[in-house]
Amino acid sequence: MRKLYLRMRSLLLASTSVIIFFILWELAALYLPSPYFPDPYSVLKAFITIITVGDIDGYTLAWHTLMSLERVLLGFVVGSATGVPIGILLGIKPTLKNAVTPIIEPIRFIPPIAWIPLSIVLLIGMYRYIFLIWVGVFFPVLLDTIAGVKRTSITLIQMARTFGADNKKIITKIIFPGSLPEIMNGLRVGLGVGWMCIVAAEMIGGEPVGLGRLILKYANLLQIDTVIVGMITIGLVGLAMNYFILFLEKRLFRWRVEIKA
Amino acid sequence: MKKSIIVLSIILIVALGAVAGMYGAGLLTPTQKVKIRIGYLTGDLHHLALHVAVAKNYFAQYGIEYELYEYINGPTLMQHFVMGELDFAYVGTPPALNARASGIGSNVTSLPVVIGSGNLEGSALVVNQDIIKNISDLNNKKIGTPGTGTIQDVLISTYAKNNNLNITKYPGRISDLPVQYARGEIDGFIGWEPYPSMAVYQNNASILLTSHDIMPNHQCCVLVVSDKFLASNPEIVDKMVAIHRAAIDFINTNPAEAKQIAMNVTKLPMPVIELAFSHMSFSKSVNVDSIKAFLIDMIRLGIIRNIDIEQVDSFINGFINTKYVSG
Repeated sequence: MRKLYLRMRSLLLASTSVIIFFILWELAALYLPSPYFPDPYSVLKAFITIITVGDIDGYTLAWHTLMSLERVLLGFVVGSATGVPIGILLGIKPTLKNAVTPIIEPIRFIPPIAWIPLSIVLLIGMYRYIFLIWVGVFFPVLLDTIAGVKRTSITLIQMARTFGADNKKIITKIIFPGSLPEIMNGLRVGLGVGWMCIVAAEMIGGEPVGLGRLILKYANLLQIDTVIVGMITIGLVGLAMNYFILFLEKRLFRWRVEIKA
Repeated sequence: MKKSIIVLSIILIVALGAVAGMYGAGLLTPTQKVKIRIGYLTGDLHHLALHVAVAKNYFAQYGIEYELYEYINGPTLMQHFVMGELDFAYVGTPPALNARASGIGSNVTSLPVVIGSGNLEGSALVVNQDIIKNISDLNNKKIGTPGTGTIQDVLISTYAKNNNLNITKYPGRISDLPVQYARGEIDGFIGWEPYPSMAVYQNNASILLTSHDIMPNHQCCVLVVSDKFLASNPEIVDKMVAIHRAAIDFINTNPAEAKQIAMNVTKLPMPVIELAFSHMSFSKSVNVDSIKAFLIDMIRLGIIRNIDIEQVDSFINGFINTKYVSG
């Protein structure tokens, strides 16, 4: 009963803050005398138009969203598939990690958007997007995986060795499962960064479809209501992806104190 | 001792306050010249009049201080223009029309007013002739444009609509279009000169259509001033128009030197500049009919939503300042 009460209270609070947000938005639109600050109703109308009719080139919101999702998921898969194994390798081989740190650390601080000009002249179409997403996903996954490996109990590893386990078994049965919570955290952060990268990449990349392109297209036309439609969609999809990974995390790591909390 | 420190402190505070007050009231600052802010587009030969004016020192001759701001395309430039970041701009007619339409009725935005003609025609559609041999081959092809809402985007969209062609437009930065074309990502592109001519010389592209073929003698770029600047600084606008007209005269009377200036600005070889020049003309009068045609096309394409076809004439009357330009 108390659980239901708490859930209802939380839902009510969330709904109230959303309503207050829309009221403030409406008031701001009313008092800000700019044709480039639309009210919520104009944005709702633009939402309906873009969903049902499509944009000026005929692409619907669903199509823009699916294209962006496809790009980000492909980049995410490549980023994870490289970040996790390399992270484990660097975690278990500190000498190797020390050797590559002078290369990895400076590259890590180059924002994905700075790679765009280079990717335009070196890569084509989807490969360009995959690369840019990879840049966003790889480093958070790599660093969290290394941290996860370091957190693996040395006692467990020594015990496994005492019982005759080889390196392969230690990695697959102890280090990898032990690092999974941190890896999952890296994946969640990486997916968020990747999602932000795709929007920036689409704004410059030249493809006709994608949420980033939708925003730029309508910014060029000074139709800000549709720009906000694109922004809201990006926020909602990002939120949904974040919740999906949190959900997975909760299902996979019920034993973790942090997850229960 | 203590007393004198207090007195000195009070005198110091009062003096500082007085100085600050006089500074705030503008009594201590010398009468400043207005520094005009001019926007233009990356590597656009349509804006040659501006580059000529800079190269020939016309601004100094007229006692005008200026700052130049470069943008990747007309719509991006106009986003800054309507927010009051620019006083003048060399820009394509459609982005200027759209900016005026979007801000009409609002007194906080800066609306563009045409005070000069930049150039007529001057865009071309270049293609890979192995893939696209004639107009009907454009069907289902990927054609690059320098961005949604640019004059090239409006021209190709209207052309496709009128000829029942299904073209997939790939909007991108003008400087990236030849690269994307060379890499086979797009089958062709429409852009402002000298980019199409560049693709002809450097990437073996062929010119399928010039903008003359799409809309003969059309107005391309215009010189616009912010309505607010026009109202507050009419004498500077007079001088700017004089500078612009002198530059247009220079281009038409000294084409060889004008081409040399174009070469210096774009860093491109003379054959590219020569070809680009063959696709455009520099005129002091605007083609009002073509501006109306652009407005109607933009309304039909859904780019301009708040103006009806019936309002076209009155809209154009406000858009073009007949004190400075004639049709």
